[in-house]
Amino acid sequence: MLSRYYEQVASLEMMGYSVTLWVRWFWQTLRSMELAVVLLVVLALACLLGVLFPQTATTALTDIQRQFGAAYPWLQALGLFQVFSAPWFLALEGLLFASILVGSFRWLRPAFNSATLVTYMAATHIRATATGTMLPLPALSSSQQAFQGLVNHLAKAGFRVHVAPHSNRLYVHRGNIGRLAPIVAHLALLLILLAALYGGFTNFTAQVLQPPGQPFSLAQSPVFNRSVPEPFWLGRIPQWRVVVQDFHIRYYPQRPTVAQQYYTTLKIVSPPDERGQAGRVLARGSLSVNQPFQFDGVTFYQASFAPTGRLFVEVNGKPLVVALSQQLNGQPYAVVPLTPTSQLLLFPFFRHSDQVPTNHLQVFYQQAGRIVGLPAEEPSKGGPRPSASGATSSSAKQATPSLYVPEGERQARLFHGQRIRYIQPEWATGLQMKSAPEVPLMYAGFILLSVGVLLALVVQRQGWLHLCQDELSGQWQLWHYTKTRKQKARFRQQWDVLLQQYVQELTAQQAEGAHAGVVVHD
Amino acid sequence: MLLSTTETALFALTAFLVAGALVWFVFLGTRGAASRRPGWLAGWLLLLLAAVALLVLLVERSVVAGYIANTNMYESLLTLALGLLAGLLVWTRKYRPLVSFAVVGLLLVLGALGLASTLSQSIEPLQPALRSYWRAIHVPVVLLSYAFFFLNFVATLLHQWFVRFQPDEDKASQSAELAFECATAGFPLLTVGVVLGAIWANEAWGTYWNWDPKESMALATLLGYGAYLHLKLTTDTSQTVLDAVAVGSVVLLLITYFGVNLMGVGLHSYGQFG
Repeated sequence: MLSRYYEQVASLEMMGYSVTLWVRWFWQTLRSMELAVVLLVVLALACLLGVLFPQTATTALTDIQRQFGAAYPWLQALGLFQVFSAPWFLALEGLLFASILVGSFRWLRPAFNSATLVTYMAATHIRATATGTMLPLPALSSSQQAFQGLVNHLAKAGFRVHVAPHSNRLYVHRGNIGRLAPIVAHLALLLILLAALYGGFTNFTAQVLQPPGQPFSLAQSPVFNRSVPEPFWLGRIPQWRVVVQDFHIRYYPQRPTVAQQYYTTLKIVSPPDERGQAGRVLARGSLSVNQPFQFDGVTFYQASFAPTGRLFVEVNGKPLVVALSQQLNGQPYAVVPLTPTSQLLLFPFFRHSDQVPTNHLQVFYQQAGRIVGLPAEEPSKGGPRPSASGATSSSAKQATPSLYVPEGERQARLFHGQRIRYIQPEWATGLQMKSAPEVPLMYAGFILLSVGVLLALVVQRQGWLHLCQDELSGQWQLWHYTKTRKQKARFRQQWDVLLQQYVQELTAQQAEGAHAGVVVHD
Repeated sequence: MLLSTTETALFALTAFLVAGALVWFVFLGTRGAASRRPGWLAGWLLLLLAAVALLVLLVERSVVAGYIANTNMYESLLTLALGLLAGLLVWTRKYRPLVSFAVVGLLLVLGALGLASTLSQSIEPLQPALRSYWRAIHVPVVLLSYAFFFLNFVATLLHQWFVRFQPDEDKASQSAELAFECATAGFPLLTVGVVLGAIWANEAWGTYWNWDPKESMALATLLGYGAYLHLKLTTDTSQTVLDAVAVGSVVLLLITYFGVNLMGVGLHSYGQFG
């Protein structure tokens, strides 16, 4: 590998490094298999770096800075914390694809020819090869019969046999389709690259964290990404709007703190008309993790969820929407004023984050600035604490001056003369939306790549044979030469056994023929 | 949910059969009777029984769990062991005189079973991201490719052994051929596995590729073995260099399979130890 490189450099030096020579050198290097292999290894090591070093996409920058201290600026300059978007990594990727593209033209034709062309070799050509071999044959009563026997013998062994017209030459092969594997696989890689390029110019992604009820349009999503800037972008942004109707979480009945699935139901509505009238419903659908919803070329994915910070409660029969506007020891809570001097403090606890069996509220009653039932003024000593059980235990009731109110209970609970119901928290569903016109092309590339690499499991085996008579001695000989890219020793062994069997059968036939006195002259 | 009695019994049976096959192949190797049909067949049948027992274990566990059992490291190691056994069944038959391949391969299977026995074996409810039919396809394909790459490593070690420590040209050449065959079987599977993963990621998250540590390392492994195959098929690189590339690639594979899980980060972190 290196010697060839030095030869090329030497030839460049001798020729004075003209531009044409440089271009030719670059072209030859780009299409060389050696460069492709080096790039594969270097990219593998680069991926390893991207895993060993924390990446800013997944780790907070402050954590990385703390971890690497004084070395941080140097490593940052090398792009080791954004390996997969670093210019050097992208350049390596680009170079590999260029190498595949350019290199493909070099070996594509010979590989295709090897898989499809039928060629024959004469004994003189076979003799000139490194592994061409000769098998001496017994005296033949009929060379035509012996040749036909050879054809049948090889066909019986599973080879496809081609006979050269007007001569005793054969070309046999098995698994030629396997030779097409690298062609299909490399074309698939190029198709995937094309699909990615097409996608870069046409697709978009958007993200929202959306509470039910409010419509939103894709273009106005808080996160809206296109790979290329507007003048070059060829995609289309739909004008319709999306209204989230509901979001809910289903938990495993036997494990109430473990989410089984997240569901969002939504409807698509046309944009409001000139008079501001709400649009008509174009579609309704639901989605969950692994079950996206599609409409008009846009796919909706269930990405995340979060409480919006609002709670639906009922106090003394009056429905209220309260905001979690206060905090105590990092725990958000809402305040429901009752009289100028008294109020309820509502601390929500959620199954998904607080590991409680049921979403619930812990309610405190505050009068004249102090929590009723607590010896000290601060409520932190008595609560809030998530309740582990489905109902407040009697000991808990005695220990804390608070009320446990589970979500969705039909009956109101009485607390300091107030009837309190917790209807539900308000959830926002995290939706990821994507328009990707390149998907069919990309999937075609994926399928082709899979077919290509699976074809590689089929081993191509070729053999060339020539049954001829030695000009000097007049002895019948079988010259043969084989080629395979895999399991060479094994194939050679099987091939030798196959031909030995043929020679044995032929010898036996000739002996029988001689015994019966049958002589056929060609 | 803890391990059922049936599962415990099947696990013990598998380990017993694998150990039995190992002892038998060692016996055949020391007696120089590896290629004699009756003796070899007995060892091969023990391998087959071990594979069947492990398959039954995984099916039983899947029935109990209510989903295909390949969601944690314990189940993953069992699937890997099954892949190793499948590979051994095929290649010990093709390369019968290479009894040391069966011995080292079986040690690897025992290692996988031993490591699995130290991990949490409880059946946990599936998280939403894993509730997909793609998991049932993507994970076994990838694990089978890992198994074949590990067998490539075994054959690579044997090649170096028969070149350096116990020179035997015939066995060295067979080992080299076997290593190549294992890699040619693993490479398409890993490629298909990565492609299936990309399609699943697009269905579940709306993106084919996230440069998640597991994905990045799987790509690195794929590139490593891609380099190995290209060197073997298109250049006249020496077998020693090929062996070195195979060893480098198995290091990448070990990081992909174990290292990333130990880090416990990324979208594939449900495969953690514990």
